[in-house]
Amino acid sequence: MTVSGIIKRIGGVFLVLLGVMLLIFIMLRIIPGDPVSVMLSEHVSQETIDRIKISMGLDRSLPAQFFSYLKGAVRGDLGESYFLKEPVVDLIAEAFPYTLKLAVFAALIAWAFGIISGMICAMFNNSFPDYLFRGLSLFGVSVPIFMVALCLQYLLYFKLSVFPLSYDGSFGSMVLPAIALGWNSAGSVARLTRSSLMEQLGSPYIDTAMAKGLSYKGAVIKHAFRNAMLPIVTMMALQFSGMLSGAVITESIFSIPGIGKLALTAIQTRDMPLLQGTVLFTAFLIAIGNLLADVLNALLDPRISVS
Amino acid sequence: MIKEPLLEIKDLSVSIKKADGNIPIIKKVNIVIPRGTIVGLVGESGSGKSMTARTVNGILPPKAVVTGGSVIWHGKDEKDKDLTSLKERELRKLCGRGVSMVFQEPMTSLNPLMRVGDQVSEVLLIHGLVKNRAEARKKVVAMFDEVGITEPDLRYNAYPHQLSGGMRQRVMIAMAVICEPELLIADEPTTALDVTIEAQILKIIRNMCTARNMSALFITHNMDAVAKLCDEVYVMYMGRVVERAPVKEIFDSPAHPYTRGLLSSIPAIGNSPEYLNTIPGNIPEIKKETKGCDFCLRCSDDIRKCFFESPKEVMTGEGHYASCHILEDKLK
Ligand SMILES: Nc1ncnc2c1ncn2[C@@H]1O[C@H](COP(=O)(O)OP(=O)(O)OP(=O)(O)O)[C@@H](O)[C@H]1O
Ligand SMILES: [Mg+2]
Repeated sequence: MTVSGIIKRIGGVFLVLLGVMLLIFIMLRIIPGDPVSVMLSEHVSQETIDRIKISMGLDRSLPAQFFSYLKGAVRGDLGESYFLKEPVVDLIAEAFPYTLKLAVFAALIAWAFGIISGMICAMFNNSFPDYLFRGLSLFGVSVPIFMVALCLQYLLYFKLSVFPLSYDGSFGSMVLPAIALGWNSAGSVARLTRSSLMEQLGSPYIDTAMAKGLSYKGAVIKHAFRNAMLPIVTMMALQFSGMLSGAVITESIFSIPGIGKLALTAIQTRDMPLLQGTVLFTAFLIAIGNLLADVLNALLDPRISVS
Repeated sequence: MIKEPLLEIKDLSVSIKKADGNIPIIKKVNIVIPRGTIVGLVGESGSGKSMTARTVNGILPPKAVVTGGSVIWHGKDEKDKDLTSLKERELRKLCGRGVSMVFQEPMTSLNPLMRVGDQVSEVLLIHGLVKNRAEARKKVVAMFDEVGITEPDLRYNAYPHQLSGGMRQRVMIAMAVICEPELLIADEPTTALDVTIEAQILKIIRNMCTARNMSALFITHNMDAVAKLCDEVYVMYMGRVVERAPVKEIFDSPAHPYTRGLLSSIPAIGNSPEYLNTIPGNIPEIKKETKGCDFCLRCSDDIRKCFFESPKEVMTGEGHYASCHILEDKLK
C-alpha cells in the first residue's frame, strides 16, 4: 500500500462529503414546509417572517446559500441551530462522546460474541453447538433493534431489575443499549465467521500445516484464522461506522444524548442547520469507516494494494 | 538384494462414511517402501492414490475412516510403529520430521498471508531443530539455494502470489526436506506445472533422495515421470493395487490389462492423434463391496470367472506381481 494511494482515497472521502452536502442541501429545500413558520407561532405577520428570513440568509439564491454554507463548513462552521440556538459544531462535539462510548461498548460485546460463536460453529460443524449458535445468530440478524431493546427493558428492568431502564451516566445503564445496538452485528459477524472459517478449513494449506507437524487446532489458529479474518475485518469496520451513525433508535429508546438523538431532534423541530450538520457528520463517519476497511485489508492481505 | 523396509502398508482398507453405509475406497492395499528407494504409485483419477498417501500421515478428510490393516513405520528412532493406531500428538511429531509431504497445487498449499520463507522456517521451529528465527532463516536460505531458488535471501520474504508455480513447488519441496525426513510423499507434485518445469522438479526430487538416502512415495498420472524417477511401481485401480513391479519390468512386460492400457495411452511421436489409445469406458462409481474383478467391465479379454471372483495376486517375474484371473490361468 502506497502513501499516494491513501492520499487519493482521502481525497475520495472529501468528494463524497461534497456530494452528500449538495444532496442534503437540495433535499431540505425541496421538502414542503417553511422552517421559519414552523419555528414561530402561527400568528406572526408576513413582515416578521421576511425579516427573520433575511437575517438567516434564506432570501438569497440557492447557489449563494450553498456556497456560503460550504465556505463555513471548510472553516469548521456548520451554522447555528435554529432551535437550540447554539453552534451546530458544538452540539455535535457534545453529543459525539456518548455515541462513541455506546458504539465501542456495543461493538466489543457484539464482536466477542459473534467471532467466538462463529468459530465454535465452524470447528464443530453440524453438531449440537453448531446448531445452537447458528440458531442464535439467525435470531441475531433477523430481530429488529427496537424489539430487542423493548424485550431487554422488559426482562432485565421490569422483571429482574438488573439494569436501569434508561441512560443515567452510569456504566450499568450502558449495558442494555449496547446489547440492543450490537445485536444485529453479533448475528452477522457470527454467520460470516462461520462461513469464512469453514472455507479456510477446507483449504489445502491446512493439510500442509498438518503435514508439517502442527495439530489441527494449531493449524486453525496459526493459519486458518488470519485468513478467515479478512472479510470479517471489513465487515467490522463498516459495522462500527454504522453504529456510530445509526444509533437513532437505540439512543431514543434509552434516551442517550448522542448523535442519533440530536438528528431526531433536528428532524422533529425542522432545524435545518442541525440536520445538515448531523447528516454530514454521519456521512463523514461512514466514509472514514469504508476507508479504514480498505486500509486494514491492505495491511492484512499482501495480495491487495490500495490504488 | 532385499532392501530394509522403511514403511509397510499392510492390508489397508479405508472407507468413506455416508448416511447409507460405508463406501470402501481403499481395499486391502499392500505397499512396501524400502529405504533409499523411490516408489511410484500410478492410476486413474479417483483410484485412491491420495487417500492411501494421506493415511500415512493421518490427514484424511473427516469422513474417511481406516477400517482395517496397518501402516508400519520402521524409522530410525521409532521401530515398528503402527501409524494408524498412533496417538494424534505422536503422529504430528513424526509429520514433517520423519515423513513429509508435497501436494499437487502449489498455489493453495501455501498460506497466502505468510512469507514463504517463514512458512518453511515454521517446520524447523515446530520440531525444535533451531534455537531461534535467525538460525532458521539461515537454514532456509541455504535450502532455497539447494532447490534452485534464485536470490534465496530475497525470495525468503516473498509472498506465495509473487512466485511462479515452479518456484512455489520448490518452496514446498524445501519445506518437505528441510528437516531431513526419511520418507518424502509427493502427491502429483508436477501436475500443475509445464513440462520443462516438471523435468526440473523431478530432477530436484531425485537429487534430494540420493543425497540424503531418502525414500519417496511418488504419486502421479504420468508414466513418463515414473520412468524417469522411480525404482518400483505400484498400479492402483479402484482402491486396489492391481500390479507391482520394478520400474523396468512394468515398461518391458506389463502384465495386468489395466497397466497395458495405461501404457498404451501414452502417445508415441509420429502417431496421428486418431490412433491415440485409450482404455474404453470410465472408472465405475465406487459403491458397496462388489463381487468379481473391478476391471472386468472395461477389460478386453475377460473370462466368466472375472465376474464372480476377486483375482489373487500372481507372480509374473522377478518382484513382479499382478492380480488377474487370465494371468493366473496362463501361468497354470
Ligand atoms: N473429501 C472426500 N469426501 C468423500 N469422498 C472423497 C473425498 N476425497 C476423495 N474421495 C473419494 O475417494 C476416492 C479416492 O480418491 P483419491 O483422492 O484418493 O483419488 P486419486 O487416485 O488421488 O485421484 P487423483 O488422481 O484425481 O488425485 C474417490 O472415489 C473419491 O471420490
Ligand atoms: Mg490425488
